[in-house]
This record gives sequence, C-alpha cells and structure tokens, in this order.
Amino acid sequence: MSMDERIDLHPTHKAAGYSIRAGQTLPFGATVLPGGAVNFSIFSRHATDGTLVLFRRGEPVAFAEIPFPREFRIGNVYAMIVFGLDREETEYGYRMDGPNAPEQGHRFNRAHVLLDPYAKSIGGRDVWRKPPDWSDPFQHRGRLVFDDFDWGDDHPLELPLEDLVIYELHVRSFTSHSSSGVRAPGTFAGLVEKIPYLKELGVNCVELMPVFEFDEFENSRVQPETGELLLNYWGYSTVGFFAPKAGYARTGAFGMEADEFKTLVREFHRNGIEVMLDVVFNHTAEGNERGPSISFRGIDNQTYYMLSPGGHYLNFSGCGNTVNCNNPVVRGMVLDCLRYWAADYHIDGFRFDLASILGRDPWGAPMSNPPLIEQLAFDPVLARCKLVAEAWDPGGLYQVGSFPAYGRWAEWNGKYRDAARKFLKGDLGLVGEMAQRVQGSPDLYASAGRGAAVSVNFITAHDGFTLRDLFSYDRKHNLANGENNNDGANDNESWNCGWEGETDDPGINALRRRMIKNALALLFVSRGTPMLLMGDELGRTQLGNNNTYCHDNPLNWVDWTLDDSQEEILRFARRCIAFRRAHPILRGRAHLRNADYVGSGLPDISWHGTQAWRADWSGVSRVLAFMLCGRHTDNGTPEDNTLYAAFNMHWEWLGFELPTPPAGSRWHVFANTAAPSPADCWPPGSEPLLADQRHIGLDGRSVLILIAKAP
Amino acid sequence: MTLTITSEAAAGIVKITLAGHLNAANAPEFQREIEKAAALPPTAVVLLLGELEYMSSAGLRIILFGKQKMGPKVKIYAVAPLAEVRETIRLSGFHHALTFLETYDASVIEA
Repeated sequence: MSMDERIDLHPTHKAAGYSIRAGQTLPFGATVLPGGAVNFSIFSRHATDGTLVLFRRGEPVAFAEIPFPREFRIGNVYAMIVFGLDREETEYGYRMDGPNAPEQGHRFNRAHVLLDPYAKSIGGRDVWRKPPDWSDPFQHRGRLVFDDFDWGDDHPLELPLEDLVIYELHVRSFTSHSSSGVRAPGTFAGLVEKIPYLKELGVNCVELMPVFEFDEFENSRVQPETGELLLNYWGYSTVGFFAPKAGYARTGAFGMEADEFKTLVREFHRNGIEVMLDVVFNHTAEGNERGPSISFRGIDNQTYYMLSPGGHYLNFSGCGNTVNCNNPVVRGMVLDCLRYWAADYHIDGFRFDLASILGRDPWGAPMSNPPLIEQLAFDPVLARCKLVAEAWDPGGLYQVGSFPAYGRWAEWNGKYRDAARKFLKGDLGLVGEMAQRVQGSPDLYASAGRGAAVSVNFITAHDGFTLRDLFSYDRKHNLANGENNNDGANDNESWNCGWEGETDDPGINALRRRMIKNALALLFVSRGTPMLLMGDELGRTQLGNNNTYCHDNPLNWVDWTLDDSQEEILRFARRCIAFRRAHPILRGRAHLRNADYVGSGLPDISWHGTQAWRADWSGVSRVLAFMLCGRHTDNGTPEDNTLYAAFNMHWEWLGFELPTPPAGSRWHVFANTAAPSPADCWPPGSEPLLADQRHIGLDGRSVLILIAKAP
Repeated sequence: MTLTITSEAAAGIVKITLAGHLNAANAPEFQREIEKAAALPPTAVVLLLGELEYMSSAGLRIILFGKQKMGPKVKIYAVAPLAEVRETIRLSGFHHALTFLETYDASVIEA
C-alpha cells in the first residue's frame, strides 16, 4: 500500500462473500466512496439489530444479506462500507429487528425488506404503469446514484418572488396526449420539448406536482362502469423523499432518472424559468394500520409517525398517517431532503402540501413556534429558495395569513381564490374584500410585516375545477372516480353560466370565455404572486370533475389540439402575462399605502366606481375599479405607466366615469373582455387610444384595463 | 455480452471504436482508453459507435469524465450511434458533451 492510499477505505471484515468495514455514520443513505466502495448508513432508535440486503436489479431473491456487526453501530446508526459491488446492478434494502408491539408504537418485522428512507434512486416502478410483480417481497428498491452531472454554469435563478408567474404543472399530464407532439410523452424529457411553449406563454416558474418517487399502483382499482384502471396518478403519496419519480423518466428503466430530471431543470434555467417542487411531507404511502410496510414503519415506526397513546396512527393528513415532522430526527430528514434537492438538483423553491401539519407537535397539537418551519426558514442552503405553504390541513388547522413565516414563507392564498370566485360570479358583499385581495391581501399579511408577494394568488389549482369548468359547472361531477361522487370539494363557488356542462349554445360559450378572461385579467393585475393552473390558458376541461387524482387519461392530459375559442383564450392569457411582466407597478413587493408618498399628485392606488374617485363599498355593489400610479413602483424598479382597471361583475351594462390620467398622458386600452377577439387585448406597446377619455361603458360581467401613456 | 475496444491516434485525433455492450462491468476499460487519450492531449476524440448495441449510465459517465478531463477545446464526436444509444444520450442530457455525426466526416473532425 502506498502512503497516499486511504487506510479508511480498506476492508476489515468478510461477510456473505463481501469485504466490508465499519461505515461512516453520516451522511445517511448509500454513498459511493472514492474507489468505488459504498457506504450504507441507516438510523433506527428502537431496532435491536439490522441487516443490509443486496439484490441484483429486479431479482426477487437477495444475492447477499449482511448483518451489521455490533461494532458497526454507533448510537442509533448502523453503518457499513461494502466493497466490490456493481454500482449499476445492485439494489439494496434493510431488514430491521425489534419489537412487534403496535400498542407501543413498534412494528418491526424481520420478514420485510425495507426501503432506505434516504434512497436517491428507487426501482420497482421505474416504467410508468408497468404492472408490478406483487409476489416480489421488495417492491420499492433502493439504487445507487452517481453525483457527476455536468451542470456547467447552471445555478438556481433566484428571481424575485414578486416577479414570478407560477405555472402549476403535472409532468405526465402535460405531454401524455398524442397531440403533444413530443418524442418522449409523459416524461421529464418530454417536458423539455415543451419549454418553448411555456416561454412564449410568459411564465417564469413551473411548480411541478409531486415528482418524488411514488407508487402509481397504490390503491389502484378498476372503475366498474368504464373498466378503466384508476391509479394514484397525481402522486400525493410519497414512497421516497430523495428520489425522483423514475417512471416519469424515459431513462428510468436504465436508472438514469436523476440525470434526466437534472437535464430538465438545467433546460428550464437556460430559458429563464425557475423550478419549484410540490413536496408532500405530511404523510407517506404506508397509510394506516392496514397499509404496507415499505420503509419508515418497519425501520422506526414510533419515530417517523404521529401515534396515539395506543399506537394508532393519527391522521391529520386524511391519508391514513401523519409524518412526525417535529421529531428531531424526522426534522433532520426533511432538512436533509430539501438541502439535497436544492444543492444537487438546483431546485428554486418548494411548495409544501398541507404545510400546517409541519407545525404540529408529535401529538398533533399546533405549535406556536414550530421548529421545523423555523429551521427551514433560516437554513443556509435553502436561504434563497422559495418556501410556499399550503397553509391548512384536513385536521382543521387553517393558517392563511397566520402561518408562522419567520420572514421567509409565502402562502397559497386560499382566501384570494374564494373571494375572487365569488366576486367574479357576481356575489354581493365582496367588493371590500376584493380590494384587499388585489392589493396582495394586506389585511392578512401587513400587520405581521409580510409583503404583498408572499400572497400566492390563484383562482384554480390542481385541487378543484379547472378555470373553464369553474364557469361551466355548478356542481362537481366525480362519478368517474368510482367514489359515488363523494370525493372532492363541494364549496366550489362556481357558476355554470346557464347550463350544466358542455353546450353548443353560442351565447353561453361566449359568456364562459368572457368569464375566463375576467378571471385571468383579475389574477394578473392583482398584487402578490400569481399562479396559473396548467391548461387554464387553453380552456382545458375536466368535464366537471374537481378531483381527478386517479385518472391517467385525457381527463387530466392537456390536449394540444386547439379550436378557435381556445386559441382566443391562449392569446388573452399570453398578453395578460406580458402586460404584468411589462409593468412593475403590478408586482410591488411592499404593500400599497393608499397615499401619495412620492409627490406625484396621485395616491399609489386609488379606488373608483361608476363615478371616478367614488368607489361603491356597499353590500349591494358588484363594481370595483382602481388606478395604480406608475410613479409608486418599489424595490428599485423604474417608473411605470399609470394603470386603471375596472371590474363590472353586474350582469348589466354600466357606464364608468374615468379618472383623469397623469398630465401628458391619455388612456389607452390594454384589455376589454367584452370586446370581440382579437380586440379584447393588445400586446404591450400597441394599446390603442381610447376615444372618449372621460366615460366608457362596460358590458355586464366584463373587465376593462387601461394604460396611461403619451398619445 | 462483451465489449471490444480498439483505439488509434494520429495527427492529434484519437479514434476509439466500441462494439458490443458497454456497462458498469467493462466501463473501466473504456475509461483507461479515455485517460490515455487525454494524456496526449488530442485535438479531437472520435467515438465510433456503429457497432455499440448498448451503453449504460456508467459508459455515458466516462464520456462526461473525458470531456471534463480534456476541457472544452477538445471536441468529442459520436459517430454513427445506433438509435437506442443516441436516444439514451439525448434524453439523459449527455448530448451537450459531444457532437453527433452520421459518418466519419474528415472535413469536420480534421478541420
């Protein structure tokens, strides 16, 4: 041995035909060491013993089982270095010994081969929808990854939150339809081919619905009426937190899903688009007492899950179990996981599904100062990642406006969604609340020192109706889910415009198009951070189904064959996004003050109605108009045009008196949703002069947006 | 399935012919050839892939290793890869490290 060889990388033991030595306790997981040996490290507080189980790729019988010698355990960590493994062909898991005493919270069972919670690549479901071999005792198989991706000069984009236009997207749905025209439909590689579309649309952040490894066959079943196989399609049920969904990669079968996903991120970044992941830490795929032992349950049930005193799973997620997020070890796993995605995948941000659960203590009680949420806020690796909370959980905790933010967290603003939907369909009593919502909800955030951008504004998201369905259905139509229409939300605040579902009635269809445009206009002139649901810009329908979690079919897939009306909506959406991105006054980070603090002669925002400077705040009003003074831009952005937006949500035509534009400028029309396409909106810079600068009539249920500029 | 590797170097151009299956077990042989090439150093490395039926992740990573070792000035060409090999390279994002050619084109490689 030469002097420069590492002595700590030489075997000391022999077991099951392999050379081994005591491993490095940290990091957890399987790590390929210099020279090619592999370090395996796993935590279990309550196990009495553990065994590393090694398989050849896809084979049901292990080729080696290596018990951890006593001297290989330090504290509660079992660690072993194994030499001479084929890094491409080896799959690994663990058997953990310990008490099988559910009433005490322990569910150890040596018969189970368990997935490493830190596995960075997971086989077993690496080809989408390939029927599993249910007789295989090891369904989700840890694999080894190489950390040599060539990022070049790529790095997270760190775009200001207030400048984002977020696009919520399901990887498989976006390109699975035959009309997508991509070479690798339904995959990360397929999504790369659609980046030009997203760039042209104008979004600069994609929020990917779950891409951590999940089992599409979890709770799969045949729909009795259609014979269709229903799946765990959306993937809100994590199997492994550190591994990308291999079945979403065309190269997953070759174990190259990490490379394919990193390529996707790199290409998004090259096109100025951030990547945010929708992460599901609130529960796992192991379900309740009747669920499978995949990983956590058999490794250390009492540590990883919230349990009742009798050892039953507490179910704040509505999915059978609740991850014990504020146990210090689990907290560490969540932190390790997010750091890994930020550092190794260059992820720009995270949206936390049912994030309020992250603020519950091990017994389920909400905490005033939840350590996990605080730790994520102050973590040095995550310091510039966006952190967005879905600030509620099915256990009844609703924290929109009160999520513990530590100056870092943004929120999905469910109150924006609810108010906007009601206002758009003409409900009474909404004008006052909408004035708050279009300002970035200062009523929710300002008192805590939180700016406008923390309000992620949305009208639709994956849960619920699409935008087209929001104005095509009064009620959900979820029978295709096989749950007797009992699943999905009932409080949709939708309106069918006079007919339930699809119709040939041109008047109703025209009204629906206009309602969609009204919603888009509202979303993109509101302060805060807008989020658009995939396909809403195309008038995508789910035929009234507001919970399509189980459908791997055209109900979820984007159909890229567009008719004229869809082209019309797409053009409108593109121009609205372009308008927003052209006007920093719409994207301020701070809250508006309703005052003139730059000496422009106009307040930063002023409120109007059918009469200029006289907003109607009464409970019978359906009208809201506001003017944003372009000299009140913040955050170092240059002076902007002054803008005026008027919303007539009454069903009747109303005349509006316009405020006088700043001296030297005249009103030009950016959008009028009542105007026939293509005169319904204009590209930035080409807005036509408004003929009458003092008065304008707005058709019922229509939106007008004006820009003041020199004629 | 075995891997056959032949290599020749002339006028600063290293030609490496790969035939059969390139996987984790035999990737070190390929790596040795790449390391030999890098030591010259060459102006270009030409991988003749017309008879390579399969290239695993480990094989692709050797190309990446070569690219990083030899630097951006040394072009790596992949000549006549079979469709499956070419597609795997493209989908996994490794295509940025090399240039595809349908045939050995001296006017490009030796220019």
